[in-house]
Amino acid sequence: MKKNRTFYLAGFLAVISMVAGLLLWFVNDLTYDRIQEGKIAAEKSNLEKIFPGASFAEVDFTDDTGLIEKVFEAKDTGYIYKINVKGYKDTITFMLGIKNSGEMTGYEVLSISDTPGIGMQVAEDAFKNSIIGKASNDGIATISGATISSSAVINGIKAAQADFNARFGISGEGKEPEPEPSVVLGAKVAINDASIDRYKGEITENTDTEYVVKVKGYGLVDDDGSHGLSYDYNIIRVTIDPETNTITAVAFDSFGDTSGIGSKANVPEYLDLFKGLSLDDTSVEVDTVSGATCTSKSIISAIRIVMDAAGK
Amino acid sequence: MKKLSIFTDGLIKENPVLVQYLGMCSALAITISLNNALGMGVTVILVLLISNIVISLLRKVIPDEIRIPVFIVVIATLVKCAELLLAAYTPSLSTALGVFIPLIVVNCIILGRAEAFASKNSVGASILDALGMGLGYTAALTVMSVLRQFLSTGTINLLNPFTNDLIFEFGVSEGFAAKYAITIFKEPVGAFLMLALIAAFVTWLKSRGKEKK
Repeated sequence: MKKNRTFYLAGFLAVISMVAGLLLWFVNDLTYDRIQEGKIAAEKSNLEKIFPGASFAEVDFTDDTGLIEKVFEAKDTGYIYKINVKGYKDTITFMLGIKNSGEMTGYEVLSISDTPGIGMQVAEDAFKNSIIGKASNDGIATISGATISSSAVINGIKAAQADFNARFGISGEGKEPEPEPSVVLGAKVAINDASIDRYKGEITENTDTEYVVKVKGYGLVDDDGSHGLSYDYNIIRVTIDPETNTITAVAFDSFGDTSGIGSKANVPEYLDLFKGLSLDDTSVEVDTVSGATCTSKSIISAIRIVMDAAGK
Repeated sequence: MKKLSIFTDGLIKENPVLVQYLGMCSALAITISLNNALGMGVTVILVLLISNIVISLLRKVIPDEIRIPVFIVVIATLVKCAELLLAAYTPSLSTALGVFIPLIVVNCIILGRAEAFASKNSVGASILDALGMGLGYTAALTVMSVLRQFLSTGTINLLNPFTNDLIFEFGVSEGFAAKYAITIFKEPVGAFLMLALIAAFVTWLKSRGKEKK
């Protein structure tokens, strides 16, 4: 008798739950489409930028990194990932679109508040173009000088690629990122140009073949500490050949400017450009490093000082 | 006469929030704006009404041993339906109320009325009880939210939850209330203070009534 009672209770609860389940199924069916639409409505304009005219639905995803916020499937077209990463200053939110063929075709930064000119480069076309067209298993190169922001974004892209590749069973590594050219040259400047005058310096040691010049760089040029106090003089060693009166080597004994920015000029690829330069003509135009103009000019100033001392 | 008192009890004498101190969680959390308060209030009234009707109808069939699980299944189902419907038709309200909609499941008022009233009384009486308690809850939330929103921002507005059109707005752009907005009333601390003040006032009202008798 008691056992029957137990069955009756269990049965009663089961029936109630079944009715509840049916009701929920009905209401869910009624509201599902509208809820999905509502979820997408807020993002629609951004999604349209990546895959115009597709029909979107939010889908589940796997992500160990916690960077992916949402994933949208553009029907028969591809997937769009909404990703939040920690930038230099604040969260960077961006969307990445990957076509079903595995090609990354869309990259839109939705919000960023990193340093203009530095971290902000991840929202600029040059970086965008380095992503667009790559495959879902390719690597992306960081931006030198904006390493924090760009590697944050790249980590987000990797998370999206991992989820995308898992969906389509893509495995293996794609192309490595092409290494960025170590020196990007900017505008040419004449050695005797007036803009070089500010980088004052003096010869501290010299022999017939070697001059050591102590010259102001970016940090000291304004003489007022306005660039902060953590700067020092650039000590530049210029080696010359007295017979032909040309430069044979330019090297830093001590680098006093900003590492990551000015240091782009302190690379052999740039310093070697001065090899063979005649000491006699100060009107000749030489290269500067883009993004490290002040340090380049500091080097050029040192060369001019040597020219004034050794040239004819 | 007795029937009427079932309805009116919930409004002040047995007000669920201000006298019984039930449903505190939502009352404190969502009363930042009038919109939220009315949205929450109406949702709770509807859930409470249907839950009371269903449980009152089933009160003779539900085995006593498993009555609480059955109540919970009924309430949880209704709340889930309400949640889905709100998300579908009033997305902005649904976002504003957030987790406090699913939390209606554990709102003591609803399970409390099911256990204390609907499972023992007729359908008609249960409907009156649900309306009284629901309106009492809504009234408490409305008073709290109007005072909190006005004191903390200087304006009160009400939006149509279906279209987000402004229904009315009352605000002071200049003068005392706008200049000296007391932002603490937006914070949880302000919620507790406001609840205490209103509850004290209601207690005073009740005790004054007794003395007269």
